This record gives sequence, structure tokens and C-alpha cells, in this order.
Amino acid sequence: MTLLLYAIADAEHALPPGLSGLDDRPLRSVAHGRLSAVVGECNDAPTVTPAALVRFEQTVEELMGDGTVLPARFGTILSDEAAVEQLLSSRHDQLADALRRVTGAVELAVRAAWLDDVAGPSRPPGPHAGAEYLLGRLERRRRAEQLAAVIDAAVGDLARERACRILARPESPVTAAYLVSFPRVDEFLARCHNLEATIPDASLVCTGPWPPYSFVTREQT
Amino acid sequence: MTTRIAADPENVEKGLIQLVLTIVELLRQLMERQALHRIEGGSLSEEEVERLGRTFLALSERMDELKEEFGLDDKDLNLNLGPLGDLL
Repeated sequence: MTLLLYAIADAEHALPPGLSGLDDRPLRSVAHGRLSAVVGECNDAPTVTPAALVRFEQTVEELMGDGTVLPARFGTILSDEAAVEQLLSSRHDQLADALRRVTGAVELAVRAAWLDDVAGPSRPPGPHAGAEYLLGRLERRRRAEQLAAVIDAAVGDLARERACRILARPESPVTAAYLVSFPRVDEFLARCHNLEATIPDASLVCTGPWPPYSFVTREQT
Repeated sequence: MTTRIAADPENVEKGLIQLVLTIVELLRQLMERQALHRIEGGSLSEEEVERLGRTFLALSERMDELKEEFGLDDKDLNLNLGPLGDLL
């Protein structure tokens, strides 16, 4: 019976009583050194479906509600408890450092979307269609970078760390994640809400708190 | 830590096309960024900007046609590179 990894936490992290994961399988902790891994049994690698992803995310959030955790990437399976201990042992210091980095903090995501049509009005190609296309792309990138700077100026001082992508998709000028300490979450959300009214050409959506996915990936994988 | 892939033979062809188009899209974006960088640096003449722009425009339109033909959208043209994040 293989084990699905949900999160890594401090060795003293207590599992919420009765917490179950995918397929309602009970969860358990496997401890090693200062760390523990929260796992649940699974027959095979879980199939990626919206329902499974939501259940996994909800489970990690419930774990997070009880203390800081490093969320695992969905579908990380280990052959048995010995493999879990091997994972914790081989990356013990790295994982402990990553856990310390996010302790007492959550991830808040800020996503901006253009209000105007990304493709722009369609029209027959003129004599300068090529230049118009490239200069249009350049202008859009500049606007996206300016927007990222505006967002960061408004909320950046509340965050421990940030991860920002410019134009990850044509319709999304800014996709940012901020690592924010618990006591600052409400102020962060309030500032984001106020900020949107001041931005004329994009809508702003702030979501969270989330487990700090954007700030642990390197260490965990 | 192990990762298992459930291979479905019926999807192999589409998966291959998806991979090829992802690589083409990566190259298109890299070249376009390079072109924008050179425009910003002022190292391209107006004629060169026009010529490059027409090339990228045509490539972008062709990519849209191919995506539609194979039932793919923008979010399909990406690869998760684990610790390095997403390719695009």
C-alpha cells in the first residue's frame, strides 16, 4: 500500500482528530528528527481530477489551520513508511529551513486581469501591421510591469517574500504570490481591496489565505 | 519518491503534438522577447521592426490555427518543470 504525501510539518504538529484525505482515507504522521510527514494510504498515484485536487487542497488547509505546514505537490507518493523516513532524513535540514521560513505565515495571491480586449480590435492588416503588433506587445508589457510595481508598492511592505510573474498569460498582466504573517493578513486584504478602485485598466482579485505553495516548491521537490 | 504516469495510447498522438507546439511556443516567446528587448535598446530600424513584427504576427496566427485544429488552448501549452516551475 503506497502512501500519498500531503504535507510536512514540525514533529510536534498534532493532526486534527478524525481528519481524512482523498477517498476518506485516514491520515497519519510519520516523524523523523524535528519533522513529521502527513500521509494517507492510497492504492496508486491519484488521478488528477478537479474533485481530487479540491479535496487535497482542503485537507492541506485543515492541516494548516492547526499550525504551519509545507504543502506537498499533489500526487507525491512514497512506497512505504521507510521511504517517508528516508525523505525526511535525506532532506531534513533543507525541509526544516523551508518550514522555518514559512512558519506563522500564509500565501496570499494577487491576480490582475486586463479590462480591455487583449487581442484588440480586429482590422485588416495595414502597411505597418508588423510594427503595430510588436509595439503593441511592448506597450502591454510595460503596462504590466508598471501594474506589478503599483501592486508591490501598495502591499509589498506587509510581506516577507514575494513571487511575481508578468504576463504569465496574455490576459493576466500580473500573477503574484505574497508570503504574509498571520497578523498582517487582514490589512493585506483590505489594502488590495482599496487598491482595485485606483487601477483603471485592470481588475484585481486577491485570494487566500493559502498554504504557502509558491514558497516551498524548490525545497520540496 | 516515485512518480507514475498513466499512459493512454489513444492520447499519445495528441500528447506529442502538444509537446511539439509547447516547444514552438517557447521559442516564439523567447524570440519575441528578444525582439522587444532590441526595440527598447533602439538597435532596430523601422523596416526591421516592421519585418520582424509581420513574422511574429504570422507565427502567432499560425499557432492559433494549430491550437484550434488540435483542440488545445494556451494553458495546454506548458510544462511543469518541478523545482524550476512552469516552462511558460
